[in-house]
Amino acid sequence: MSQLLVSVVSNERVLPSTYALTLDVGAAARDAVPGQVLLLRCGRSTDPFLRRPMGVGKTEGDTIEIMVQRAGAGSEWLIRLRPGDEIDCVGPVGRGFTLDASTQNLLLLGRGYGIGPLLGVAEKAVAQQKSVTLAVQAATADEVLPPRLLHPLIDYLVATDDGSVGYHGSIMDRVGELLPWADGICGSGPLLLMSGLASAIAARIPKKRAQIMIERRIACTSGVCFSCVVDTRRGLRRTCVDGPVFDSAAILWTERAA
Amino acid sequence: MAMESVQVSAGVRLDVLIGANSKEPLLLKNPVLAASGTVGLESTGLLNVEALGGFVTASVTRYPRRGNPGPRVVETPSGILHATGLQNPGVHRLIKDQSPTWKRSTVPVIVSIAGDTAEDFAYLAGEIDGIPGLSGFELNLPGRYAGHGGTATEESAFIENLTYTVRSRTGLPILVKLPPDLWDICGAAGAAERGGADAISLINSPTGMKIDSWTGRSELGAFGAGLSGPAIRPLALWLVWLVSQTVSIPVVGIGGIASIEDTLEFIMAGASAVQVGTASFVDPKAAVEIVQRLPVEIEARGFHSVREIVGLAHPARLEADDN
Repeated sequence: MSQLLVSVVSNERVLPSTYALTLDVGAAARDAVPGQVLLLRCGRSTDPFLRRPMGVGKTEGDTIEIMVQRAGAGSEWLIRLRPGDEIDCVGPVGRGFTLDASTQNLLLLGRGYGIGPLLGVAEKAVAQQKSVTLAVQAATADEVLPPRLLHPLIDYLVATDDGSVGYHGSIMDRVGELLPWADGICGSGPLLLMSGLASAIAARIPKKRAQIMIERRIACTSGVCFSCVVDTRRGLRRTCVDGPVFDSAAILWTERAA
Repeated sequence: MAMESVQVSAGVRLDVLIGANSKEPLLLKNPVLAASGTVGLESTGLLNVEALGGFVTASVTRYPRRGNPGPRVVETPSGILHATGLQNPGVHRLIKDQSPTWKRSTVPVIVSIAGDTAEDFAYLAGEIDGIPGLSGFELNLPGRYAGHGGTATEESAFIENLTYTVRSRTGLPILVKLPPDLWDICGAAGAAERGGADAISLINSPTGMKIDSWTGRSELGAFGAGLSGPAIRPLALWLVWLVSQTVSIPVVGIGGIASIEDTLEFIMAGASAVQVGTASFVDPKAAVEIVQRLPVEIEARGFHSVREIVGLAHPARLEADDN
């Protein structure tokens, strides 16, 4: 963990309101794990005030890709960055997704910009000759990440809310069928989708676990301030040092913010 | 160390003394501390904690506290509202798990203690006092909703008694941290001084809130939350100026301090030292950069020490300087 001035390599629109931002972070990229977070300062003023936590996605050489969805003042600033621009970055912090050597069949579930970290896991898994299925939910065909952004060896399973592409309805119907196949499961996306994944696992394959990435506003980044906690069976755990990737069976999904 | 050479080469003295009359006075090598619960020894990867004058730990209570449900932090104009609800493992776990690291710190560790009653505070001070590496206590007073302070008189009596009770348990410096939303902040500061406080930390976060206009609910897991950051800086500066003229013990300025200019303003308003809090979330190096710039900026203004400029903006001082 360190604070660095990093430079923008590219900033490409990949979905109508989502951008893939590639940063040259130097040697820090080599130890970065998908699912860890970078905390980016968005501008020089006090608005927006806090750094924005962005999940580490694909890594290559000295670069890390993050996915940024337009949502407010911070992301508005980030999506306007151009190649060569510099940005103040703290990180990577936290615990990312782990890939067990024993895992052969990896199932990934995500939606929206949450897919960014999953792409990072997918590429590492493919490089280790694991079978990878990426299941995504999107509102419409427009919101489906183009297959060209995925490694060709990744099985890509899509469901849309309106049926404009892929399965019509919930991706969970397809994911349920794949659960017995999978011996490694990772999720990153809206809480409703993630709690659905956790309960499907608990109901159908209670001995298995998913690794789920949780998004929180992060303040101190070193575990001191207890702002970014997630409610778990082991108490309130800090996203910045204990997470942001947690065991699906450990997370208590009842809390309003969890 | 590079830091030392900067201080010496500029010929400017940065040291300040807290608790001149206490049994164990606290000499800070520079007046910049990290505020409670913002920086700890675990932050070493982000900033050089050893360059600071010291740091204040996150508050500890007698028993473990779960804290508030989330969300615990939201942004506000130029600041944040935070409502952690004092999540902490309780004093016995703190002593067992965290206090052994204090003696490794080369800078003073000030422990923030919190509770509901004077007895809670006395118990905490008694349990923690004497742990190697400990340099002082900061009292994080109970909120005004904790069932006391019905009038200004009762508020002051509570604070005086609380401070006195802690004083009876420790010879270390005691900093009493006051929020601005008291009935009578000057009265409260005077009460803390009478109770035996060595310094007043000013200000603790005022209480604020934020409502989701679609649901009518608080955007935080609690209704009231501590407001911090540059949003409160002018308010804090004013209260430091006001209170430091009514007490004879040092005031430690807190409230949105993020730069060398902010720091000099607080010292000139009457603060003997400052604490950097929320600014460390935005820029972890903020406090260390202030320390590095202090000698040069003090010298540039024609002075040779921090102590010389404490209270420079007080009317009595301005008048004396004019004559």
